[in-house]
Amino acid sequence: MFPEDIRIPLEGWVNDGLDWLVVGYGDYFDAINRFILSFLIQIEWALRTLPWWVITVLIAGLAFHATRNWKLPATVVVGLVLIGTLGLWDLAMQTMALMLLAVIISILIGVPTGVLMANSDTLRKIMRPMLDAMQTLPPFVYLVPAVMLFGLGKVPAIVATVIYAVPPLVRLTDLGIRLVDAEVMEASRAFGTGKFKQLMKVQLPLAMPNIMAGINQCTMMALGMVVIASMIGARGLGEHVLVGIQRLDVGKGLAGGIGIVVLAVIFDRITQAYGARQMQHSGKD
Amino acid sequence: MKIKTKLKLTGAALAGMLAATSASACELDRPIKMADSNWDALQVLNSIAATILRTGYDCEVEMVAGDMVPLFTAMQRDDVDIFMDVWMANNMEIWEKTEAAGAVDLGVFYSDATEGWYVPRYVVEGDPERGIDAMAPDLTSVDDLIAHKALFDDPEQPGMGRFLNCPIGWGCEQKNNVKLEAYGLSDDFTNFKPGSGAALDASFASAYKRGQPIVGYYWEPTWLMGLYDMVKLEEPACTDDNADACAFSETASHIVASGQFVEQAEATEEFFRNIETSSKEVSGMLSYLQENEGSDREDAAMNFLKTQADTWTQWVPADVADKVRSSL
Repeated sequence: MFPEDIRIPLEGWVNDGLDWLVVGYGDYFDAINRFILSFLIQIEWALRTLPWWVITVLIAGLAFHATRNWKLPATVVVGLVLIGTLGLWDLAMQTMALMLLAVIISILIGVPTGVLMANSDTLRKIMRPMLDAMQTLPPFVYLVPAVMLFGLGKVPAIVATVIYAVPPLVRLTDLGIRLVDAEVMEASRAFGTGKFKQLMKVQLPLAMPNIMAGINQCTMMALGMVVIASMIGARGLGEHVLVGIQRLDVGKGLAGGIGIVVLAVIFDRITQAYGARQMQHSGKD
Repeated sequence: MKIKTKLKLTGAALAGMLAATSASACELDRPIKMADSNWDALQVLNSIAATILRTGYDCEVEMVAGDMVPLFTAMQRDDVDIFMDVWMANNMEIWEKTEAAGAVDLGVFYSDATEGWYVPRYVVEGDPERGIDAMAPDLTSVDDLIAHKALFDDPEQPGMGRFLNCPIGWGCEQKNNVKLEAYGLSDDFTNFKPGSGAALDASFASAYKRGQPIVGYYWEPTWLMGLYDMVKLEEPACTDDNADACAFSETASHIVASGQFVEQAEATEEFFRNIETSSKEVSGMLSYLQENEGSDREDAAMNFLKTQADTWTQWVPADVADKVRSSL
C-alpha cells in the first residue's frame, strides 16, 4: 500500500480550476461558442439546403480532381446514394458539417504547431507528452468539462473532436518538415531565400505528402468521434447510432454505422488521393 | 434428562446474567445483512442505519454488495435481511417473487420521490445574494414556457427555446416527447437530448453556477437537487383524457426485509418500520458527497447523524437514541 499521507490533491485543484473558469470566464467561452457556431450554422445551412444531387456532384468532382480517374467519383456517387436511400441524408449532412469544421480547425491549429515543433527541439519535448495525453485520455474525461464550458451540443463536440483528432496532424507535419533534405535547405539558402519564403516554398511543399497523411488521419479520427460526440447532444449520424444502441434497435444502429463508414471511406479515399498526387509531384520535381 | 434440564437452567441463568450486565445485547446472534447495491442514496442510507444498529442496538451489520436482481434473489433465500430504498413501482416483478418467498414490506421510507420539468429558482424569483434579477417572475407552469422561449434560447436553432430532455433510451425521454407535443411546445422549443446522464448533469450544473436560465427534465432525490435550488413547473393534473401528458406521479421508496429477519427480530424490525424521511432530505445527504471533496458514504452518514438529530431520533426509542448520540 502506498502511504496515505503522500497525496497530491489533484481532484480538488482540477474541480476548483474548472469552477473558476465556468463562473469567472463563462462569458468568454460563450463568445467562442457563438463564434464557432456561426461558422457551423453556415456550413450546415449550405449542406442541408442544397439539393442532394448538387452535393453529390460537388463531392464527386472533388474526387475526380484528386484522382483524375472515374473510379473514385463513381464510388462517391454510389456511397452518397446509399446514404440517401437509408434515409440518413439530413443526418449525414449534419455529421459532415461537424467533421468539416473540426478538420478545418484542426488544420489551422495542427499545421502551425507542427511547423513550430519541427523548428524547436525544446517545444517538441514539451509537446510530445501533451500529444500522447490528448490521444489516450478517455474522451469522456474532457467531454464533460467541455459541456460545462461551452454548453451542450455541437460546439463542445467540435472542441472534443479537435482535441482527439489534431495530434496525428501535428506529429506528421513535424515529421514531414524534419524529413526535408538538409541539402535542399542549404541550396535554397544559397539562393538567398528568406526564412518565411523557405518555409512556404520549400519546406511545406516537400512535407505535403506527410501533411496530407496527417489530414487523412485527422478526418478519420473526427468521424470516429461522431458517436461519442452524440453523447453530449451533437445531432447527426452519431445520435442515430446512439438511439439504436440504447433502444436495442440493432438495425437502426447498424444503418447509422453504415452511414458513418460510407462518409469515412469517401473522405479517406479523397484525402489519400490528394496525398498520393503530392507524392508524385515531389517525385517528379 | 436431568443433566439437560440442569444445562438449560444454567444457560438461562447465564443469559439472565448477561442481560443484567449489558442491558441491550443485539437481539440477533448473527450479523444483520444489508443489501448494498451501487447507487449513492442506498449506500449512504445503509451507512446511517448500520451506525444506528451498531451503536444503538449493539448489533453486527454486514454489507452485501451486488446488483439489484441478485440481491433480491439472495433475499428470497434469506441470505440478505434488509433492502432499503426499493422503488416499488420500478421493481414490481422481482418484488412479487421475493414477497412470495416470504419477504415483508416494512413500509414507505420516503414517498415523494419525483420527476418533472425544472428551472432554477433564481429564474423565477431572482437571487439578490448573487445579484441575479428575476428573469421570468410569472413562470409557474409549463403553459408559461412559450412566452419565455427567448430566455431559454437554443444557440443552435435561433428563434427556438431549448428544452433539455432525458438522454435517449431512458424511459422518461419518450414521456417528455409526448408531453412537448401535447403542451403545444414542439414548434417553439427544440427537444434537446443530451446523449448521456453526465451531460445532462453538467449542463444543469454549469447553467446554475453561471446564474443562467435553463429548463429541463430532472428528478429527485439526487445530489443535484440537494445542491441547487430548483423549482418544478406545474403540469396539468391527470384526467382520463390526458393520461399520456399530465403531471408525473410521485414514487414511493420502500424498505423490505426477509421473512427470516421479521421472524427473528423485534426491536430492530421496529426501527426499520419507523424510518421515515423525505426526498429533500435524501437529496441533502447526496449533495454532501458532492460538496465535500473526497468524502465517502461514512462521512455523509456521520454528517446526517450529527446535524439531523431531530429526524433520526424519532426512528428509535429514547435510550437507543442516547446511546447512538454518545457514540458520535
